[in-house]
Amino acid sequence: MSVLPTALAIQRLSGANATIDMLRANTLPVMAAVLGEYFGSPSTRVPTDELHELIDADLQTLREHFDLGTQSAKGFCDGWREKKVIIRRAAEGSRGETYELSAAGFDAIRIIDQLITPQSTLTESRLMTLAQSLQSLAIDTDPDTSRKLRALEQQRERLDEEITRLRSGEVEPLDPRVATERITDILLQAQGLPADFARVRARFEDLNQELRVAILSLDDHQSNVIMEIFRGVDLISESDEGRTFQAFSGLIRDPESSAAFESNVREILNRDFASQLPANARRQIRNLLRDMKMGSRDVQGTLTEFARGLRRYVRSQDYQRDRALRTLIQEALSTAAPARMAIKPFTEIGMSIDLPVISMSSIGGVSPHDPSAFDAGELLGDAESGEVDLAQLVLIARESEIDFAELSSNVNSYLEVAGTGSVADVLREFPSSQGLASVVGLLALATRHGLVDTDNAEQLTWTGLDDVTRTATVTRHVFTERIDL
Amino acid sequence: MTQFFVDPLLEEHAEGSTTLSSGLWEGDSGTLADSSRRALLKLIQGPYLSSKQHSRLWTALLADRVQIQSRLHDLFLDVVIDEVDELAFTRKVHAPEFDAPSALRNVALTYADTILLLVLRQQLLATGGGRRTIVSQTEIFEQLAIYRNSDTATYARNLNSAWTRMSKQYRVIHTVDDDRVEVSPLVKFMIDEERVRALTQVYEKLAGLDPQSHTTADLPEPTAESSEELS
Repeated sequence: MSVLPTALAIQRLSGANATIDMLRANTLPVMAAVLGEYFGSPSTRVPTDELHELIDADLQTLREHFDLGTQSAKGFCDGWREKKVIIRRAAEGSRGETYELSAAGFDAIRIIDQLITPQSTLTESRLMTLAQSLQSLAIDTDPDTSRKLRALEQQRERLDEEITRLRSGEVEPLDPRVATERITDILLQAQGLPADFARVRARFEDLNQELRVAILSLDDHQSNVIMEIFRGVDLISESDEGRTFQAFSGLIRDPESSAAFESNVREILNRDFASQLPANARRQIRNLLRDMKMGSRDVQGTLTEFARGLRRYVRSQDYQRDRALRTLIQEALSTAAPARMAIKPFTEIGMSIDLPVISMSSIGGVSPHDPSAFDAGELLGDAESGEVDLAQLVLIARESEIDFAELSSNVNSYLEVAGTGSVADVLREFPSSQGLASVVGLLALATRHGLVDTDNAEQLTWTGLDDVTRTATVTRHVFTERIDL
Repeated sequence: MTQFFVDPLLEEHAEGSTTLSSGLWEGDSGTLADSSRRALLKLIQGPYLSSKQHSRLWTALLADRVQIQSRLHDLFLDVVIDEVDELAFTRKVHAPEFDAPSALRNVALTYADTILLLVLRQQLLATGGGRRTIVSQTEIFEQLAIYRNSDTATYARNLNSAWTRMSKQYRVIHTVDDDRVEVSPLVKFMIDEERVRALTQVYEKLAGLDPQSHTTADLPEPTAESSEELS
């Protein structure tokens, strides 16, 4: 009667397992094709805006064949992030963020790869490896040494036979069919590497975060964590995952074994059977060591950075101050709750703060007034306030550097709260950041995405970039729905 | 262009300085090296000078810190150099016995500003490890939901305008994309222990509570950053 518990366990898995969810998604073809294209090799990271651009370009062709709605690349990426297929991370050394594939994403893409190019998975080579592993495990765990001796003797006999055959020249190299099968098997194993690296890295990040939380928590059981770090123990490298990784990365870094690896790869690629391999399989084999080195260096860098950070944190005793501060902030935030009933959120509470900014203005920056430059001849009469030609405005808007992204997000935040709003409403809530340009931008957006209420006019007020406040009376424009640029 | 007459005495005097500049333009009487002057200017412009964004100026600041500090003291300012996060900024000279004018911009905080700053400070604590702190506006606002005392729409507007102030006026958050911002390490210095305690007392007064005795933790004396690197 184990069917039910298993079924329930699998039911729990879907919904909690990112790989399964990805494979079940309606957008799987697009998702797997796009992500496989840009994140094929291990430890690939792509700046978010760059990936959005790449995918937007792909979407143009994809839309002709797939029903993808109107979603932009950014929308897709957000969805994939929620599905935990890709991970967003702060870019190193620049403002901005990068995407990379999660371990679950790698797994799903590999499964699809294998389904697209069917492999006879139970190959002869696979069976041989299996049989050998089993045999050596049986021998290595046998308390009776006589068996091990016998096995070694058999091995020697086999080797002697083979040497004799080789000397007499009666030897055939491996059948090309079997050779191809074996190399395919090697490739299959290699395809699992990126997912392994991603998993290891994610695990180390979790460990690092756990350790930091442990250091900050006021639980005395954690004090030995602090002591160990203080003594210079690298707790992340010492974990089980850490040890496994260190062994792997040591092997890759060892010059002797990596030179042997390289020369084997070269030789295999020169064999006759290898010339029949598809170009991308050859490339994969050629880059195998490089990929492993890069992936491992990447993870190693993370490890070193974490260890150094933790050590510095504990040694400088900053953590004690952080602990105290954490408690104080919690206390402040809990007293802030009853205080909210006494005031409005926008009330100043009698506390001010120095911003490390000096606003300088100097007479030196002023150009002297030259009356002749302003001789306009005839006295000007008061201008009649005329209708603004909106088409003209839109044209101006298109030519200037107006921050439409900011404006539409202002409109959207306003609508979220109020449902609808006119240009004046939005401007009141989010004062113009680019002077007149913001006002023009809002009107341009409203003509494109909103409604024009020709029966009413409203007054718009803004502060120009010269700090002068201006007003204009304009036909009322109303935003009724979100703007997606 | 006016020609300045250069007093030979001044030139002689300048030779005693540690960082003699070779005169960047004709009639230049400044004594700092070019990059040190640029670092000084960046500090005065604010909000901070960081090694990530201005590595050359950061190096100049460390190499010439005595001279640069002296120029800032001439303006009643002090420089704070944080070597862990590798950033530096100015603050008013802290001298109880001397009444120094303040050159810096002083802003009054609203209730919404303060709870937002406290939560941002909490986020900085939670990241640690010299990593950048990137947070989602939606998540922060969710955390602040319990401080709502009006209808949802009004409160959302209030939070939004506090958020905009943080980004545009105080420049303590930098937009990464539409929902996500990076929290500037400056928040660490704006919201220190003393300020958190003061805030607690303000809130207690507002809530009509008697200020109570507070948790005091034994704090270690600040220690010099151990510069030895074990690897």
